[in-house]
Amino acid sequence: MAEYRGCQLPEDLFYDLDYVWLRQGNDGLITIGVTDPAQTMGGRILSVHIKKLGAALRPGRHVATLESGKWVGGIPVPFAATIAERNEALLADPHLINVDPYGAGWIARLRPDDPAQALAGLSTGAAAMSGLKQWIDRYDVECMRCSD
Amino acid sequence: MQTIGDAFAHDHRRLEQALAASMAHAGAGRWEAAAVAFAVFRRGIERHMEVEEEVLFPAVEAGAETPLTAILRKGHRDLRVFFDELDDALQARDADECARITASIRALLERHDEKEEAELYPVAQARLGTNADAVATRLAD
Repeated sequence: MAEYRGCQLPEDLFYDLDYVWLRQGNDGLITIGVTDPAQTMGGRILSVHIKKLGAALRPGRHVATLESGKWVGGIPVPFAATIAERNEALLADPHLINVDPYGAGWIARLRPDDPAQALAGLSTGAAAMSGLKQWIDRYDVECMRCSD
Repeated sequence: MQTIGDAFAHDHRRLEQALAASMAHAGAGRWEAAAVAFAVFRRGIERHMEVEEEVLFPAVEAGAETPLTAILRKGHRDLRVFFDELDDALQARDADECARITASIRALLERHDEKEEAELYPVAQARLGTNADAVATRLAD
């Protein structure tokens, strides 16, 4: 896993180069979550709202809203999709996003309207690492690991 | 002479009231009035953000984006998505969704406005100097 200014950046995920990472599953569903630098910018997440199971989302619309003491933000989906699964554990413990943003802190699993094109506009690998480093510099983010 | 801080902070309060008026109508089931009031709010806040993006941010940046203006621009982008979602909820006459989205917008605006009033407007005032009054006037154009 790459690291930049303390932020963990897995090379194998897809990114919108803003808040969001995505992981393709073998079952046709795509998992969405927020990146390590994005959760750092948000601060300790105190509440999470995830839209209802089965909700249809247009590109750019929010699958979830996160709130910390200093920040409120929507998490946009990059492609048209339906919510197939929500991370219920995250609703009970929003801090999971800070502790494990790429693992236990996942937000939802999406069923894309057009599976063949869903990830086409996203970045991965070396291009994603370059874009994410620019994002970190742009917002002047330094990541630190949460221990609890 | 009106300072940029005074003019834009006053506009923040005016816009908060406009959003509250729309949601009061929605809460009472007056959906057409809520939609009209929301359109007034949306026009006002789009104008407010436009003047910031076209005049204040460039004045503060002096040619190079700063972490402050990057975060404020991002806040504007996030707000516009929430506004689209609230517009959808009003059209669907979904009172619960209206209340939820409005709570997010208010929380986001509270933090965003605080940052602008504490960090952006004083620097913009210093950079724009005697042009500040003309900038403030653009809010009402």
